[in-house]
Amino acid sequence: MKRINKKSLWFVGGVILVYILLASTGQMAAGPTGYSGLGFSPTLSDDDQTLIFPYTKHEQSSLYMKAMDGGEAELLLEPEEGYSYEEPVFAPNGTSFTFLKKELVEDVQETARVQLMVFENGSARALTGAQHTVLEADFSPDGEWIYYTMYRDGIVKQFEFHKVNLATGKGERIDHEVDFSFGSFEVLSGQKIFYKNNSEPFAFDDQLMFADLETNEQTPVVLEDSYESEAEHGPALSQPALSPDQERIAFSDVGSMNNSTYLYNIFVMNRDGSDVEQVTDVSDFAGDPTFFHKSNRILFTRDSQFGKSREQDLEYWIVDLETENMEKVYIDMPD
Amino acid sequence: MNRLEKHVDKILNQVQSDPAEREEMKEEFLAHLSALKQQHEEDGHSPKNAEKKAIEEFGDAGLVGNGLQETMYPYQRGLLYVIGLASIALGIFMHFLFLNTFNEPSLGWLAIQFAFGTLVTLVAMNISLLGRFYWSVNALVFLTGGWIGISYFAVIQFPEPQTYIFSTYLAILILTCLVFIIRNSYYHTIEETSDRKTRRLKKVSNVVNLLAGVMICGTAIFFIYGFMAMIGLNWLVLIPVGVVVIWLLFYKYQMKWTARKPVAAMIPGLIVIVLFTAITLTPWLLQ
Repeated sequence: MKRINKKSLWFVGGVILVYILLASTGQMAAGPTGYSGLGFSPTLSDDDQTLIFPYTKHEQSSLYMKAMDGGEAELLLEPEEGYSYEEPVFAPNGTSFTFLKKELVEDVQETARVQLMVFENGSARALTGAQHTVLEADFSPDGEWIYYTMYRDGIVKQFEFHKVNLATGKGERIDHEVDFSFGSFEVLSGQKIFYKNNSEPFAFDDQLMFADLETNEQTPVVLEDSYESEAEHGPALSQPALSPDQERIAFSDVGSMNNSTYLYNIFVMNRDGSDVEQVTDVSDFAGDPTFFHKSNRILFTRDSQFGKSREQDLEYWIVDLETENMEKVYIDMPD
Repeated sequence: MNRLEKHVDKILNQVQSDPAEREEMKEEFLAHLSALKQQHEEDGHSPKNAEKKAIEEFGDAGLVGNGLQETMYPYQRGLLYVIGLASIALGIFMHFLFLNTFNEPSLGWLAIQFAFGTLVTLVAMNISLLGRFYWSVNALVFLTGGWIGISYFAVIQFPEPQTYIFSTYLAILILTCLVFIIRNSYYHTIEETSDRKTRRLKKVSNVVNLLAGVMICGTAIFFIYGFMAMIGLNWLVLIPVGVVVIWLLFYKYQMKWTARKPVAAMIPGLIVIVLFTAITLTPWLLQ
């Protein structure tokens, strides 16, 4: 009877040895992983003087504050191991801000809680349960309520909209029906909200929407017919933001293409969807627009490596809506 | 076992023939060697010396065996070596790329890559022992090709120059796997016939069936990756994995079917190809 020859055994032994060698040297050579740099979704105070932004070190974000007229950034909050602090939102009166405390398990987000940080106290407290995954949060215009969207128990199908009173701590679920979910919401006065209505996955029918939470009436923003996005499935309408006077909407969309890569730029239009105008001109990615409150400018996040490298490299930029001049916000990080 | 038998066994150890064919060749070679031995005995050599001279004249066992394997199953062993060693090399190259790009090795991926590469190389090294299990060898090479296909989803995360280089490497390796499987199935199915037209039909039937398998399993791999990327390791992954397993089992039956009725055997494959083509082209045609 034939058997496996001796050479085979030597060969298997050799492969195992190479594997052990590669595995051990690989473990030794491994360094810190993940992106390090500025994060998405910075927030601007109502007086346009202060910027709070996440800064990521190997997938874990801390929150920093910076005066818009210059100076070094200052560390506000640093998470414990396994958590990341992201998506800060300034309170209308500027005395506090919310952010999401995301729990990371092997760099994958598991749950997220809304935290409130009052500058006077210098510490943050949780406003939501630890088992849910909060997606976004925003203050009511009077600063008394925090509205937030979440997946109950982290389950994507269980999308819910809630609010919590900051004085009493009492929360309630808001009954507002949407097709699937919504994002980039802003709470307006008089029980009204603005958001991007997300259609079912792969339906490609997202719409910007004004809604009345009392009557449940929804008014879609219909983009003018002449506007044509370069995105394959219609306008991306990413990260829409409403101007302080609520008359204009900024959003990110595919303005052009470079070979087969989408180039995202910031667009501004009237609240009825007319006069869509591209206001930035970058050859990579511009998103996350935020209107300044006291001047006709927009703060946006740019990924200068978009389409060029797998690694992102985020920067904050400002575009003047009158002159369309763009300038980079230089961030001097503390050592 | 005498020296002549040992020599013949050494020769046959290089050949992937099945037991019946092997027995036939063994008898033939022994008869030839015995005749040579007898001739040398008649020339005055001692029986031991005559045996030695007969073996020398017959040729080195490795050379004769390899020659025989290449004549009967051209390039098959070489293709297995190429697939196996290239898979191991791919593992080593990508290990350093993982380190360079993501700052951490992917040891699980490396282990699987090495396992497939080692198994395929072992089959090449032990072709006489394992080569006759045509379906099992095909299934192993097919799964190796599938795993290399999955590696594409890792390759696209590398910087662009490396992505292009490694995508080409993967494509060539997958193509080599498919060429091997088609040829291996062909050699399996032509055992009973030497008719030229039937051989051609069997060749076409093997190509059609494998192409259908690639379409089915390629889609399954896409869903495996999709499920893993969207929801992580979940029982849903078992559905596309099950599809691959079912197709492999069906392919075993198809190989036997092709040997007997090549035209009928390619009908399911043709249906799959037509369906996939229609589904793929419909959106473009409707635009």
